[in-house]
Amino acid sequence: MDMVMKGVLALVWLAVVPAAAGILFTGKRQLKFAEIFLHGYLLLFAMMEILVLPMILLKMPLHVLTAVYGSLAAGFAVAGLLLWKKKNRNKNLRKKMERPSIYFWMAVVVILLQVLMCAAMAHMDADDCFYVAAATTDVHTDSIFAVDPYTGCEYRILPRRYVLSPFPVFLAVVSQLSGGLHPAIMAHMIFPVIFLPMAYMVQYCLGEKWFSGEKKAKDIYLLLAACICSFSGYSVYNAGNFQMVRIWQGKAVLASVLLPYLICLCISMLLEKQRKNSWTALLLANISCCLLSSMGIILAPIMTGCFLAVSLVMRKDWKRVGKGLLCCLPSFVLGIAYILIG
Amino acid sequence: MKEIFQQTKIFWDNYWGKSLVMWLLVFSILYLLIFRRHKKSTKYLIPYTAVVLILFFCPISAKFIQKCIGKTVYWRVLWLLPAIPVIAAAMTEFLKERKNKGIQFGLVLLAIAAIAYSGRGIYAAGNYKLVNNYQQVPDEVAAICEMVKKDAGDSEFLLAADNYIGPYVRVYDPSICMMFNREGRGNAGAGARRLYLEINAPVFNYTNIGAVGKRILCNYLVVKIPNEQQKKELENQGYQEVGTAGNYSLYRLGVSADAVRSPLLDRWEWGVK
Repeated sequence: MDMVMKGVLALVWLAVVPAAAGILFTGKRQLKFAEIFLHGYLLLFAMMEILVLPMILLKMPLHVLTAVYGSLAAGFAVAGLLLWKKKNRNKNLRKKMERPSIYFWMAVVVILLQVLMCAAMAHMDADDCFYVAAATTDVHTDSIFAVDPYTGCEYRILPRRYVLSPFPVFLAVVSQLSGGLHPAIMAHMIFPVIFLPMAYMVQYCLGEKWFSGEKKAKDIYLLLAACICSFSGYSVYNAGNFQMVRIWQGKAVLASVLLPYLICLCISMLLEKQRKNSWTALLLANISCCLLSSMGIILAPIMTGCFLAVSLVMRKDWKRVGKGLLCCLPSFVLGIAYILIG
Repeated sequence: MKEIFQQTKIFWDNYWGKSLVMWLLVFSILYLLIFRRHKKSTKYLIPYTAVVLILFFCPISAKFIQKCIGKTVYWRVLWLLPAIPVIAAAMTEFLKERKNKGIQFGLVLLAIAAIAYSGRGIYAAGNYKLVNNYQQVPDEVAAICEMVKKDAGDSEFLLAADNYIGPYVRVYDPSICMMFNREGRGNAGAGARRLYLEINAPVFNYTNIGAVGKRILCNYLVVKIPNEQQKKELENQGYQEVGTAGNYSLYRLGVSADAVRSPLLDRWEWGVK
C-alpha cells in the first residue's frame, strides 16, 4: 500500500479513533478536546493491556489481537461519535472561540519545531533493539512475545521484565492496522507526531487547573513548559529528555505523558473540593501506566499513594482515599506479579 | 542506611547533571510558597512535591522501592517530581501580573532565556542526526541488511555484528537471525559470547574474529576493515567480502549463505516465516 495511505491510516488509528473514543467520558460535563483525546488514550491503552496479557499466555497470534483490538477500538469510536451527535443535536456548534494570545502561537511554533525535529531526524537509541525490534519481530512472525527480538529464535522462557508491560505489542498492532506500515517507521516517524502534542495537551490541562479563566496566563504556561522540554538536554535521565529523544518507547510516554496526566487526575479526584473527573479515568490511567513500562506498574501507585497521603491531610475524606486505593488495585496485582517473577 | 542515602544523592546529582534546573525548581518552590501561598498550584503541587522528595531521600522507602524496581534505575522515581509544572507555574504566576504588554513580553523572553541558560538545548546535546531511510536506523545498517538479504536469498543464516550495527539490524529487518545482539544479549552460548567479545574488542584481531566465527558457523560477519592486511586475515579463515557500507564490511563464510549451517538453526525454533 502507498506510504501516504498508510500514514493516513496511522493517523486515523492514533488520532481520530482515540479522540472519538474519548467522547464516551464526557458525561454531563463539557470536556475540552485535550481531555477527550487523553481519556481516549487511557481507554485504548487500558484495553490493550487487558487484551494482551491473556493472549501472551495463551500464545495467540498477533492477527487475532489486531482484529479484536481494532474491532473494539472502532466500536468505542463509533459509540463516541453517536454520543457526540446525540448531545449536540440541538446545539449551535459554532461556538465563539477565544482569540489566543501571541504566547499561544509561540508555544505552537516551539511544539511544531520539536515534532519536526523528532519525526524528521533520527535519534539512535540502542534500547530500540528490544522496544522496536519486539514489534517488528511480532509482526514478522505473527506472534505476541513468542520470539526473542534480540536474535529471532523462540523464547524458551518469557522475558520477565517486559511481559507485564507489552507496549511494543501496541506498536505492532497499530502498525498492522495501518496497512502494515513498518513498525520502525511507525515508532520513529508517526509516534512523535502524536505523543509529543499529547504531552503538551497534558500541560494544557495542568495550566487549565492553575490558571482557570486566565487565557493569557495559560498560554504563557504552555510556552514555558515547551521551552523547558526544549532545554532538557542537561542529562539523559530527566523526563524532558526522554520526551524529546525517545518518545516512541513506552517508558518515555510514561514519563512525559501518563505520569503528568496522572498528577492532573489525582488533583481532580483527590484534592479538589468538587471532583471533575470520573474514578474510571483514574483506574484506566493506572492500568495504562502498566502497559507502557514495568516502571509504570510501580510508579503509578506510588504517585497515587503520595496524593492519597496529601488528600488525607487536606480533605480528611476517607471515602475518596478508599476509592483511590481501589483504582490502584490492578497496579498492586501486577506489581506483586512483577516482584514475584522478577 | 548511609550507603543508600549516598547512592540516592548520586542519582539526584546525575538527574540534574551540571545544569541549574534544580535551582530553578528550588527558587520556583520558594517563590510559590512565599508569594503565592493561596494559589491552587502551591496548595496542590508543593505538598505533593514534598512527599515525593521525602520518599525519594528516605533510606527506608528508598530501600523498599529499590527492591521493587531495581537499584540501578532508582533515579526513575524522580519522574514523579513535577519539575516542569512547578517551574512553569511559578514563572507564569510572576509574569501574568505585569500589566504593561511590552514589559510582559520582554519578561517572558527573559524567562525563556533563563530556562535556556539553566538547561541545555536538546539539539545542541547532539541527540539527532539525519539518515536516508524511513526506519531511521544508521544508514550503514540499512545498507548491510539490504546487502545480506540480497546475497542470502531464501537461505537461513546467522549474522553477527558489533554494538553499533547489531542493535538496529532486527529493527530494520526482523527476518535476519542474529548470533547475539546489543551487549551480547540473547547469545547462544560460550562461542557466541567469545565472538561478541572479539568483534567488540578495543583492538580488533581479525584472525581471532574469523576463527571464532568459523568455529561456531556464523554465516555473516559485519566488521570494520581499515586495510587490506586485515581483509586477508579474515579471508584466510574462509570469509569472503560481500560488500561495504560506510566503515563496515559484510563478510560471508563460504561461497554462499547455505555453504555452512549452524546447528543452532536446527536446535532452536527460529521465528522465520
